[in-house]
Amino acid sequence: MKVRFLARLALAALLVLGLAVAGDAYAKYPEKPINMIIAFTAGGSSDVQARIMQKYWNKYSDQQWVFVYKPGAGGAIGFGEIANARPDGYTIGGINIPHLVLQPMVQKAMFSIDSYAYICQVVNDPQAVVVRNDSKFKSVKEIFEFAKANPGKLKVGLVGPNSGHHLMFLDVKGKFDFPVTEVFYKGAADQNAALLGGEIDVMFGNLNDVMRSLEEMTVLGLAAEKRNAFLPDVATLREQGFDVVSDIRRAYVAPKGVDKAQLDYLRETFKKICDDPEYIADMKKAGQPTEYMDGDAFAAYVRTQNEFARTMLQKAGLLK
Amino acid sequence: MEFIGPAIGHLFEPLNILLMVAGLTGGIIVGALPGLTATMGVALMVPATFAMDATSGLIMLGAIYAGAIYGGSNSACLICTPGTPSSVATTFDGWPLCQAGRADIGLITSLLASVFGGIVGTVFLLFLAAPLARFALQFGGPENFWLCIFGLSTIAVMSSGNMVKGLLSGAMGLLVSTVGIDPNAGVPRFTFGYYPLVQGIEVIPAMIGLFSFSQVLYLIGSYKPFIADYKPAPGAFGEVVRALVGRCKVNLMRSSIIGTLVGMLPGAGGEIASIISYNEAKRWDKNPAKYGKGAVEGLAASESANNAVIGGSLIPMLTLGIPGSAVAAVILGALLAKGIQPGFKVFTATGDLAYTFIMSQFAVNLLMIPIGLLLARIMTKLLSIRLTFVAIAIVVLSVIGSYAIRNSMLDVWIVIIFGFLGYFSGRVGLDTGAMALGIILGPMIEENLGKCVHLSKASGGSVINVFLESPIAILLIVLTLLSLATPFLLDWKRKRRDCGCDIAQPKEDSTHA
Amino acid sequence: MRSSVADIASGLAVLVMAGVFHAQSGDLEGVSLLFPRMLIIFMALGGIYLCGLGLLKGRKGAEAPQDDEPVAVNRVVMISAGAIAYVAIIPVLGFYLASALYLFGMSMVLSDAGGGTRKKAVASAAFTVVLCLFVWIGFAMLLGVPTPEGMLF
Repeated sequence: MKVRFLARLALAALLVLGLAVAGDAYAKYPEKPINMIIAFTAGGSSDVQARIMQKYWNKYSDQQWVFVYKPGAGGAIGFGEIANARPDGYTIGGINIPHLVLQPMVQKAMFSIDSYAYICQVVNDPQAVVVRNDSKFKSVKEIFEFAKANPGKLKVGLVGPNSGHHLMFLDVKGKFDFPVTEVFYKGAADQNAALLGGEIDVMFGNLNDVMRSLEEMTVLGLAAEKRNAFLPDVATLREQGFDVVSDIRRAYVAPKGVDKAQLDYLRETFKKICDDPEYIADMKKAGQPTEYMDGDAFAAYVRTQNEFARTMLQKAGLLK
Repeated sequence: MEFIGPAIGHLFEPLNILLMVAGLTGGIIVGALPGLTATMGVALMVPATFAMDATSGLIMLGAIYAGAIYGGSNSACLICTPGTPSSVATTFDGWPLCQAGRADIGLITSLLASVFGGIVGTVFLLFLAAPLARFALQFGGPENFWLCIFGLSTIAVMSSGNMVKGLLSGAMGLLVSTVGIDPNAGVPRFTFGYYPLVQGIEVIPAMIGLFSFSQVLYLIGSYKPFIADYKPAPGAFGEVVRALVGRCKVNLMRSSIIGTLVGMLPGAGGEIASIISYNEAKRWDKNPAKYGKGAVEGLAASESANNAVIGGSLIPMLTLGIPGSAVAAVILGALLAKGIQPGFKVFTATGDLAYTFIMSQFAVNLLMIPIGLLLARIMTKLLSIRLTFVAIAIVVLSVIGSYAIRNSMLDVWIVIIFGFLGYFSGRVGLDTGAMALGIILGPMIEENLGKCVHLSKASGGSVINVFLESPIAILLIVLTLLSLATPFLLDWKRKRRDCGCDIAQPKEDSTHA
Repeated sequence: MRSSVADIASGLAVLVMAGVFHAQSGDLEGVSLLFPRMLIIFMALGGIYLCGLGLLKGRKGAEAPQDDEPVAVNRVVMISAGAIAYVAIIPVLGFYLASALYLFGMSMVLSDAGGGTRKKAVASAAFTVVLCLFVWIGFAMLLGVPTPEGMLF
């Protein structure tokens, strides 16, 4: 009898505890620190960006972020971690496009683009066509002409495979006659080194990564809609007659199913941060090209990118 | 050069002295704990630098880096567990010394060799940064490929006792490294139907398993009450100093230069530098048989090389924005967050910062002697704790260390599985050092080979053409062949000595091997 | 262990690993398969060689047994089983509770110091508390290293 009584007591206690936890969600959010999942290594570009963001988050919110690093498989591990986290508003994370759309296609990743509630986009890092300072190429046009005249001779460096750079490369190959030899690198550091060392002649690289070695490299064109404030003198590819737009976007997401009120709070706070002039100045100093886009618009953008990437990969025969 | 004077002045600011001492102490402890690596130690402290000015932040990160790389040798000597991957080669001679009761010799040698290597690396950074950065850029796909193969050829020398087993162990390591996403086609391989394996088998948990956990099993299985006897002798410091300035001076210099050069290459870091230096020290020694049995020379080679890597890895990081090692990449992130652009003009435009940082590396290395000695004395106390407690504690530390790498329980299981693998290998004579080398070098070999194949399309020939186009690659090919022939050469030398036939014969005779 | 047995065991281990990876390489092709396949073939050949060598040595039978250190097999088995159980319960109990249990349990079972059970228990408890505190202060407080969380704690 006594055992039975104790069991009931325990059950009742559990119930009360459960109610208390449930009640929490309706109290003023956020009530405790929020886990921020970063899908890349500490000290990487994504981390640096998030750390700058955190500084201003603390200005507008009482609760801290706790950084949780889940690097691996080009971000896929961390993205999966966010997708599969409890949607209680206390786990959010940073994601990158096109990584997020490519990985479910080529790797059987543990998430899809529908696994998330999108908070907002914070960075739009366009791809750049880059050569060494002493390169014989003075414009994007010259590169294309040389490539056409000497099939296979021009060596183009990309980070990849199955990456944003690769996608841009496929796009370029689909639209223009561009018979070159592509060489893949593990990361931007290796790619930059290869360009400077002369192993490759041209590279498609992210502006943020190129900015680190700008003393040695010349950016000939940006695959962006409009010119970038970092390099106002560099014409876009479109201005030079090549209609290619390609970039990497950084955004923040919560797992799908997060409470509407919580999502609104997150979206509002992130917007405040992105409008903060000091934040914008800090980002500029760190070489991160900011571009705010609200959650709904970004979700729509992710869907168009998803279609774009699928057609590109299918055309290239990289998707079975 | 006008910056050097004020730079030295900055170092005497109380805050900076405090940061150097704290960074070194913390770094040495982080490095000595199995599982916490230099990369992690530095990365963990990056957020703290956001609150400091750029110079102080850099000084602290540099101190942690130097401390952690040296700290790895402490556990390598005392419990045969490399605290950081750079210290694998330190276990080869450090552990036999400890077993012989002379852990003091091992620790002091590691410390002084680390300091020497660190200073040499920094000298190169100070005086030759620009030309060396240009040289490092010459290393592309073919050069890196052959550098890795050269590193791998060490297996032949390391395990000259049983070359077949050594080579097979290396192959096992290489095969393990192919788990995960293939670097050339981007598709997942060998995931055994378990999704998290697409991230591959991380080197560090695998090494914690192969070395620490298997060492726990070995220690527990031995009937000893303590890890090793410890018979410190007075005058050990002097003894080591005499050995280092005497018979080791060429070795030290060679290893430090190898360390600096390897450190400059993106991708290749301390783990490769120390093994190559160990290999070279053994190759050029008159009496190679003593290596692996507690030779001070082996320790000196490994530890001076991995600390020289620090200066080397900072060269391309500061001048070109290309980090030479994982830690340098983290420091680069911290620099960029402060809005400092790397480049050759870092020495002019932000010269104050650059030179203060470089000078702080000298100071850090000098400070390392007293701090390192003090900590080494505390750590040898480990040897007076009952073995059972030490072994159990290592298991818990390995778990937390491996989990912390990427917050994944998968890595903890990797430690356990590789621990059993390592223990079993030790029992049947397979070589865990070679396995670790395979796991480290595997991805680099495959990736760079892939690059060569891609590049060969442009030069209109086969991969062989790509290799032969590069003088550095040709040099490395020759060195690899030489390295593979070494066991036969050593064998031949020994037989001749055993015969007692001292008649000089032309060296060419040996090439038939 | 006799060297013939060691050779055969290591040969078999190499063969097993090559076999497992070969079985897993089903749908791979082209550049993805090239490098692992080369290794698998090399390992298969080497494994067969080692087995053959071991059998040959064994047949001669004249080899001297190696002077191995004696191994306390039961202790090795105990700490291995303990470690597996420990890692398995971390996701349930959380890092600190699981570690405390493991530390206390293992030092009780493995401790070879003299004295009665009570003395052992006191020593083990002290060791557990000291190490947990060290990990908590050193890792969680100072370094901010995250520890695995359990479902319960």
